[in-house]
Amino acid sequence: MQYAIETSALTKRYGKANAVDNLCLKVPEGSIYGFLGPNGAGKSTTMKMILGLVKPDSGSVKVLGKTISPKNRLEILKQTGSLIESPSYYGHLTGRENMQIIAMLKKVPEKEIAQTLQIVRLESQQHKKVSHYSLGMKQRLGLACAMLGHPKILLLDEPTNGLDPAGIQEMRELIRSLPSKYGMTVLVSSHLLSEMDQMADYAGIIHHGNMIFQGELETLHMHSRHQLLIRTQDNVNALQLLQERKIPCKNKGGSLVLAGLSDERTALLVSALVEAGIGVLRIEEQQMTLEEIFLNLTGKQVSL
Amino acid sequence: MNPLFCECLKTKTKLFSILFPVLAIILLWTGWMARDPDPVMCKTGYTYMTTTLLLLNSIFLPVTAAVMASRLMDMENKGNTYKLLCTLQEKSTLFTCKLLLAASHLLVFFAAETVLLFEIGQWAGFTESFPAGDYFRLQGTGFATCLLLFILQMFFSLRLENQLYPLFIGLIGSFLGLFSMFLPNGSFFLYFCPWGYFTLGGSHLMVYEEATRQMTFLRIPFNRMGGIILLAALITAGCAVHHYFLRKEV
Repeated sequence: MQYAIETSALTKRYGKANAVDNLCLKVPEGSIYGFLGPNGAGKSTTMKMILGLVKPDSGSVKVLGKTISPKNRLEILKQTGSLIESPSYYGHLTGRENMQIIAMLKKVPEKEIAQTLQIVRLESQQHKKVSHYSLGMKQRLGLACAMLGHPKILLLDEPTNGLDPAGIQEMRELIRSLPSKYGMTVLVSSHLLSEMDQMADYAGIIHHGNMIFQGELETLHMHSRHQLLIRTQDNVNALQLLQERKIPCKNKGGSLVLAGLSDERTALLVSALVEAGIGVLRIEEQQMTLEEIFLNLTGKQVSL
Repeated sequence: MNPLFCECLKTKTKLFSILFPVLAIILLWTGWMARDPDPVMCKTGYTYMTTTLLLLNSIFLPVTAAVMASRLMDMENKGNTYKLLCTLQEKSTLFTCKLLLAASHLLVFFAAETVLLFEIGQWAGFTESFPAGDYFRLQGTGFATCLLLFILQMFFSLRLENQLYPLFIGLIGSFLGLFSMFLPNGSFFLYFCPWGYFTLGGSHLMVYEEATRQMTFLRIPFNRMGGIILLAALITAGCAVHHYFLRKEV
C-alpha cells in the first residue's frame, strides 16, 4: 500500500512530558484518515510536526515518499494544504484578498481562486471583510485556502470546531467528496468519534501521545465486542444454568448479559434453557458504539 | 518579490495611515515656527530647523515605530496566520519582508520630511542655502534609530500577547529619549537608551546666553563612536530578533 504520509517513531517532548511518543502514523493515499483522540492527546502536535511547524525531538516524517528535512520542507509542502486548529485569516481584508495572498505565496493562478471559493460556497461573500464573517464562513475560507492549488494532501485539524449542526454536515460532505472528486488524501483530526464514523475510511487513535489503534474503520468496528442480552421467565435459574456450563454472564437490569457467542453456541444455549423449562422471552445482540470502543481502548471518557 | 508584495497586500495602507498623520503634525509644527521669519531666521532657518526636527522626531517616532511594529505583528497574531504562512514560505523570508516593508516606509517618510521641510523653507523665504550634508546626517541617523526601535518593538510585539504593553514601552522610551537629550553630548549613558539615539544625528548645539538673550548655534562634529554603536546595535538587534522569530514555535 502506498502511503501519502508516514511517520516513523515521531517524538516530541515538552519538558518532561511526551506530547507525542514514538508515533508511527500511516495515511494511505486517496483515503480519508480520521485522527482521533481526546483533547491534549497530541493530534495537533503531530500534524504540526508533519508540516514542519514544530521540530520533533526524534523520528522522521515522509510525505509522498520523501523524507521531510529543513531543506526540502517547503518543496514537499507545496503539495499539501492545511487547516490547523483554527482558520488563519486577515480580518481587515476581504475573503478574496485573503485568497489572493495565499495564491501568490502558493504561486497559483488567480483564476483558481474563484473555483475554490465556489467549492466552499463562499463566492457570494468574497468581497466582505473576513472580520464580518461567521465562524462557519471563516472555517470554509480556511478550507478554501488549504485547497487552493489542488494539493495532493489535506491536513485538517478539527475542521468542524465551532460549527453549527448544518455547518458540520456541510463540511463533512465536502471533505467526504475530496478524494473521489479531486484525488486528495485527507488527514482529518477530531475528538468527535461519531463524525469520523461518517467521514473516514481509516482511523488512528492517539492517546497520551501513543497510537493505540491504526487501521481501517471497519477493523475498528470489529474491535467492538458483541454482547448478548437474554431475557427469560426465570433469570435466577437461567443464571445458575449458565454458570454451571461455565458461560460468564451477569444479571443486569432484568436481562442476562453474556459476552458475544457464536451462532452455534447461542442455539445450544437457548435449547438448554428451554429444555430446563425456562422460557426465553427475548434475545438481543448489542454492539459497542465507536465511543464505547474508544473508551475501551483509552480507558478515558471522551469529550463529546 | 512575491513575499514582499504579499506583505504590501496584507498591510494595504496601514503603515501610511500611521506615518502620514505624524508627518503632517511635524510639518505643521515646523511650518508654524517658520512663518514670518525675521532676517536672522531667514539666514539660519534651515540650520535652526535641524534642531526642531531632531526634537520632533525624538518625540513622535518612537511611538510611531511601536505602532508600526504592533500593526505588522499583531495582524499575524490575531489571525493565527503563522501556522499557515510557515508552510508556504520560510520564516526568515517572512521576517525579512516585514523588516523591508517597514524600512521602505520609513525611508519614504524621512525623504518626504526632508523634501517638504525644504519646501517650507522656500515658502517662508529662508535665504540660507540648504545644508544638505547636515540633513543627510540628521535624517540618516533618524532612519537608523527608527529602524532599530522598530526591530526592538517587533520583539516586544512577538513576546507580549497584549499589544498595549509594547505601545507603553514605546511611549516610555520616547520620554527616556527626550530626557537623554539633557545628558552632555557624548555622555556614556546616552548609549544605554536607544530611544535617544536620534540626538546622534544633530549637527548643531544650541547655546542660550542669558545675558544677551541670544541663541547661538555651535557646529559639532559627528559622533563617530555613537554612529558605530548605533550601527552595531541595529545589526545586533536585527540578528537577535530574527533568531528569536525563527525559534518561536507557531
